[in-house]
Amino acid sequence: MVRLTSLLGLTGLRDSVVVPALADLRHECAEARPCAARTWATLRGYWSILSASLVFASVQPARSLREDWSTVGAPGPRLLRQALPPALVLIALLLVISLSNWSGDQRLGLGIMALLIPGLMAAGLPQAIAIGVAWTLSRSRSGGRGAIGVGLLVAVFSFVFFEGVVVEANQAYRQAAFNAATGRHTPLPRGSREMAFADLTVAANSASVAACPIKPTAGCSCAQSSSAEFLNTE
Amino acid sequence: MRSTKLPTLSGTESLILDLLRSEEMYGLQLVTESDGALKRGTVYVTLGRMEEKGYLESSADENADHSGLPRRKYRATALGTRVRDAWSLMAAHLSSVRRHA
Repeated sequence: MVRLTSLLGLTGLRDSVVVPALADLRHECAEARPCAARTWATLRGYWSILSASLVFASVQPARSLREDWSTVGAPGPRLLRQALPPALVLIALLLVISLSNWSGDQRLGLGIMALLIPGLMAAGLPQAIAIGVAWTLSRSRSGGRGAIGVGLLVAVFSFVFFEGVVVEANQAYRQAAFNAATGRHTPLPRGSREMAFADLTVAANSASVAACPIKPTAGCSCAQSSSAEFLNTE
Repeated sequence: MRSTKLPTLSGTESLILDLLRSEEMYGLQLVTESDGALKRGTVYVTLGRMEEKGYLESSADENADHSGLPRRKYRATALGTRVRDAWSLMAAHLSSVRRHA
């Protein structure tokens, strides 16, 4: 167990829980005289090590996050501040390259092209932050404390940004491009890239009902097949 | 700016400091001496946390009479003892305030 925790890099768990518990367990087993008492002590001891490891594993991540982000001079915010400048440079490069290589209708103008920026940011921001963090850690000797928190923060931001901003920006771009190209102002229906997750779920359920009006059950296929030959062979 | 966060002490930590007041003990010994108040599954996690806070210090018992890993012996630090005494004083004062309320 000591080697396993060392192999997994869980040095905190190893030194504070596994090693002391294992040492006490071995002493208790050696002191137990009847064979049954020794067996019972062994089982009870390993059960306590397992439950202590689970308690440690459930408490430690929350404590690490709290220590890395909420204390004065915490490493998490410092890492984020140091990683942001290179990340912003990468994002700016991404936007310049993407928009300058855009081969769409040049009549649309900068105002409409700017509606593409949220979509580019949704893909580029997590990668830029990851590269910024990696670059910062390569120059720093303080280790990776706070990196997991930065990753979680970017993941939550990306989810919220995509769900709330990107879908609306995409739809606004499509509508503006259609209006400019055709001169008409007909409202366009939303495509899959212009729908939030709730709308996508509804659309997917509607599509599956349309394709198979008799709901498949108990592992059976759809009761309405589009192939007559398939039905005849059943 | 210096942190003004007060040292905290949970019921379990207070019990451990009480048990370690007179002598140093092994983790399993604390469980036995507590008459079931301390659990084997959580005592080592609590001891590790108290050591990080500076309330306890531990040392490997090199005089172990069985081969294998050396047992770890725990003792209360001066900080741990002072925190325990301060919390006891506060608890006694609050009890008297409640009695006279």
